Amino acid sequence: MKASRTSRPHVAIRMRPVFSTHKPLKTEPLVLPVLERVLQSVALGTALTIVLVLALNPLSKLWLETLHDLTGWLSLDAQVIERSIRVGQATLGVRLGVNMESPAPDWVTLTLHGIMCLGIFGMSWAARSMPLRCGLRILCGLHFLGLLMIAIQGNAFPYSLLDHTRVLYDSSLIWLLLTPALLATGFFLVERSWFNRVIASALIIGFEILALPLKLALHSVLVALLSPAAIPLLFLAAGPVLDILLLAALYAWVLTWPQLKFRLR
Amino acid sequence: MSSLSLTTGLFLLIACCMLLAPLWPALRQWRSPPPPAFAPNNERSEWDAAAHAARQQVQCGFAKLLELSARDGVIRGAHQDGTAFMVLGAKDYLSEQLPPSARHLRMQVIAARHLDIPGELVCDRLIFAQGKLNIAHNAILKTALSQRDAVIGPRARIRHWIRAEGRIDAAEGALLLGCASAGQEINVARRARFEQLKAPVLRFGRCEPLRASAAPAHLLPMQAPGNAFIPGDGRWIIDGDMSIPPGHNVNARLVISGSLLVGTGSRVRGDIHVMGDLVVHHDATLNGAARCDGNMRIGECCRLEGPVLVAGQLAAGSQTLFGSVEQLSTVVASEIRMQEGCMAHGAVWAQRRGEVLAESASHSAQSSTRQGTQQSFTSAHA
Repeated sequence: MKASRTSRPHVAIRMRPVFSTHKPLKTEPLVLPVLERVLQSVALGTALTIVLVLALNPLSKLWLETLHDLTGWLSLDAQVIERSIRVGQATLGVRLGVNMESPAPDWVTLTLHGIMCLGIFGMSWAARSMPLRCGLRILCGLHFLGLLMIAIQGNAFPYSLLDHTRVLYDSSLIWLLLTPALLATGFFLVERSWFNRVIASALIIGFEILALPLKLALHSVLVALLSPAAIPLLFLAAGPVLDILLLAALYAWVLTWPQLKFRLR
Repeated sequence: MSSLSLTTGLFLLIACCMLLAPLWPALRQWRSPPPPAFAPNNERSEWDAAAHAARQQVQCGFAKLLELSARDGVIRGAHQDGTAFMVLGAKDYLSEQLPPSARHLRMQVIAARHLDIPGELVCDRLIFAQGKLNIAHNAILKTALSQRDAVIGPRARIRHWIRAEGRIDAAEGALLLGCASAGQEINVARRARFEQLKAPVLRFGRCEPLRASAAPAHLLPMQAPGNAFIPGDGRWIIDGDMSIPPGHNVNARLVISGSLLVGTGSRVRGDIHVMGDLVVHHDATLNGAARCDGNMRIGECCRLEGPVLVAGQLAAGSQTLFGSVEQLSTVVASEIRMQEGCMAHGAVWAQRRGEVLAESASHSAQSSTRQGTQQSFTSAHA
């Protein structure tokens, strides 16, 4: 009797209603919840990955059309280059890239970028917020290093917008396909509510799907505006690093959600 | 570098906003002020500051007048801002200075000795007494300050604050809105209502001497339940509900996502954070702080040594003790219902409503608690 009381304490006290509003307490099984939650996470993660892989073809078409529309709307002198992604005989989707004829940065452009860099670096002293100040200085430092590398390379400019956007597309696609696995190893284990899981996953994945063509178009516009000298900075600051940052921000936000309730009226 | 057209500028703005939108909650969190401390800190509160200012005003502005009135009798006058005042001498009575039909007093009253406020008088200015302050039945005062004790009559009402350097006795049906603070002790009779009480000793209703706890001498150590996650820093993080059987000792800090039931005579040595309801059976002891996001119900003769913060209702059975003379505590809840016979040391703060229940009203509930626990105990052993 004593052993059972210590190992299963809730057995020893069969609670009657103590006060008028008090309900008898429920007790959960001991081992099952952990195993059950791991299995749920794996199942949900796998299912989401399969759905994403199967939806890659229509998604690529959506991205392609959006990019075409955006470049047309922005009057960019750019071509959207597509190349099929094939696994065996099956076509999973299209690999996208934006090509644009832009001259390699000359000395005038590099000097202008350098002056702009120094100006922003000097202005960072006026910023009161420490993260903003440090962020501006890091960006200026990165850009200055990029300019230095381009100046050393001379006329043989190593980057093109097509390569840049293709790498950007690849990294974003890999992130998108890895997102269910990342959620399964963390969020699905912690979150108990199915409604929260579904809404949060839909939000994160939906954001990544919508952001991809927008990001490619934005990079193309910025390169057209600032010259290809800005490509190294764009890749380092607004490429895969930004993807990770945005995913972390969304992940942290959905973790703070209270339990959402679904009501049918 | 090419020129920037309106369409391109618009696109840049929209795209940047859309892409950086997920950072908005983090930025908001970063810019928001830090959350308030768990319990009210030791800084002087709004009410204390008001009482201190009133005391300063009397000491600086009325010291000479009090000396004169003690010798010559009543002095009437007005401040520069037009506020009238009356300084009563040692042998003057307020009731003699008022017309027979007066029910509303719009002047400060400063008394050199004891001061008796007549029944059903309404005063919306400062009342100060160097001696004892007696507020008769149904009187309504805004603020009152006494250098000694204050007695609040039946159904009398304090609207903002009352401060006594000695003790405050609030009779049956009194209403203490705002803050009541005393240097020694506050006694609140049954059916009285309150918001903030601060004193080294707070007694609710007719208090008999506290009886010794009926907890068993040797408590059984309790093992962590199966649904507990133990990170190794002395915490048990429990996903779901938890019940501590009678006569058990828990030597851990508890974080519980569901409800917690503390059995009769049990003891929890660490802090408790319960996200559901918290039910503490009679003779139980909580040594640490208790935070409850739901409602909290405490049985008879319990001891809660740490601060208590309850988001919902707090109902405490008789003979329950909060804090100790050596270590003052703070009890904060949205609604507080203290059964007659409770005692606290420190501050009791009902954010919406606090009430002292008569013993007869809640006796049946408490006795059913005891019987229920005894029966459950018996059935478990059987």
